[in-house]
Amino acid sequence: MAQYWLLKDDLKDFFKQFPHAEYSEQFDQPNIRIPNADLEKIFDFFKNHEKYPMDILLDITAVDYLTSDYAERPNVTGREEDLYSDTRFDLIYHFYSVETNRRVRVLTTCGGEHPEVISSYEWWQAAHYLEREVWDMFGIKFTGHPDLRRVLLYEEFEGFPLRKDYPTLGEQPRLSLRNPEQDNGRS
Amino acid sequence: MAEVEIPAKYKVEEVRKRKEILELPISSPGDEPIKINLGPSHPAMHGTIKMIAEMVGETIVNIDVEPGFLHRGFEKMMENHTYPSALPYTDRLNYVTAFINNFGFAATLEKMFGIEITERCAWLRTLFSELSRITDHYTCQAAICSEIGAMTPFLYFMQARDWIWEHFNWATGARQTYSYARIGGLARDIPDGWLEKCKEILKSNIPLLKDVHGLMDRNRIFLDRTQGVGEISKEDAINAGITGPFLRSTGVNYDIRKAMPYLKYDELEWEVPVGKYGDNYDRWYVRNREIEESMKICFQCIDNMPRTGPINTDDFEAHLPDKAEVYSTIEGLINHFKIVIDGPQPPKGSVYHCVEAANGELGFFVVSDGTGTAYRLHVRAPSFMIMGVLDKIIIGHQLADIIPIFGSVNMVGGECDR
Repeated sequence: MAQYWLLKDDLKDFFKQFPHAEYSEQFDQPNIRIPNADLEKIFDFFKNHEKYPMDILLDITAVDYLTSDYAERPNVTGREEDLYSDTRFDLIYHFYSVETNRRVRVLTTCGGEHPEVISSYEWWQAAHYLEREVWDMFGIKFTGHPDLRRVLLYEEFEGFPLRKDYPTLGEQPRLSLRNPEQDNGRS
Repeated sequence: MAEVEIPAKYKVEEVRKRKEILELPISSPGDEPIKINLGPSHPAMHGTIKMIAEMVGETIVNIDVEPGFLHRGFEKMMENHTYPSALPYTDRLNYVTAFINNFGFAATLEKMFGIEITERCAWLRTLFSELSRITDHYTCQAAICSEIGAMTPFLYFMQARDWIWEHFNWATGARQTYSYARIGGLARDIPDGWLEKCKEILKSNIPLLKDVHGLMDRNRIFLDRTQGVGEISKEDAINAGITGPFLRSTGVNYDIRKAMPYLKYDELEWEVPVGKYGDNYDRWYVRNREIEESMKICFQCIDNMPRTGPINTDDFEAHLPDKAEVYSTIEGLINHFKIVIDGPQPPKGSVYHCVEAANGELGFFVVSDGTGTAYRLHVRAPSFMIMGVLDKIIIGHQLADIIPIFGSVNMVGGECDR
């Protein structure tokens, strides 16, 4: 399946422009790891790529590496004091180019007390729900997103369930009736 | 289905002109928009979604789509189950096409373990996926019909679907949630005579479909409710990340079965139907054509499939050995024990694998930390992406148009909300 992914040889211009990007391959699929400060330039680059314009944003998801001692990942020790580490979360973007039938995966890290990265909504409208879901499940904020609310859970939900420090059997407080005037978190 | 000649006055351009007249706000200009709640407990909302529409007169000026009523924490559950015991949960994603979810999940893990499935298993998986796709399209088409008041085609579709589901019951023991896949194979072989009966059932479906075409394709009421309603352009659909029949109805020829062939799709003869305008009628048309193409694939599978041969791989790293071996050899017993207790352990790393589900690209993104449980498993749900753009499609239409638009995008709660 490797021919459907953009590998290192296809991306020479990319690595010329972003020499800090780390490249690795797993299961015939490329992982391009970039610092999250570069995200804006990366979106511009892939959206307007001459040869492989990435016109579909397939997926955004995140991984919480709090409890992992996953050795292949840099700078993560997996200790409790990493709760606010800058590299706690991985954000994973999957792009697809319809014309040329190629995919690419871009990874970046974020973390800290209030993790925050730039939104890709300006480039791909698909980010609307995808980023809302990542906010819902992981509490990662996307600056520039027009309407960042919870999407699958309800407004009053406490905590972020897909973080590793959210208990599997976690319970939520009972809710009182909502004020109909303020339904849905919108006044 | 033969190409239907559309009379000039029903062409989309004409319909749109008429719509502009209809869209004039009936209320006075100073009126505040009125909020109307639709769902979640409403038959037309399929019980799993809520919409808050803001109306000026009959026209929707703003709408907030609120999914999530069927959220069961699928991805969190996946982090606490070994891979084989997590498989039944995938049945509950898109519960109408459980086979495709099962096979997609199993194929993701086979990719990680480097397992090659056997010839016969690949044929069977292709056949079951396509039968599943047919039932999903039947369900969606039936819902569109019944939601705009056509009860007869709804019952015809349900009849046809039920024959196929009862036939699944014979092979797997369940009508909807089969858990039929295993990593590296299938749960059990099909019974004797199953394939022949399957062919009969598919053939008996054809007259029912003909009746439905006769009732709906040129039906004046149906055309009025579907043509020029719920349109989306090619560029917008791509930008919104939509895949599957919805994207193809706008004219983009993207089908994973052709773009990155898996199973046996590259050895079969079939076409990818595409639409033109991306409205309700085109989505109806594309799904109808896909039913026909899927039937074509099914017939070819039944004819070309080897009748004998193993269905399971003999790589016991991830696949349970035969019971006879478990009881008679020490290796079989150890393999069985390790897979049941610890779960099969793929190498470290992350992998993304996608299959063409009935609604579009169903992707599984798995991060493995080398243990028998996924460190993280994410599902790229095709319906979820459609819900993200549904508000833009609906705004400007009338309240009654929400129901056929929502029906024709085929949102499945289990998959969208996970």
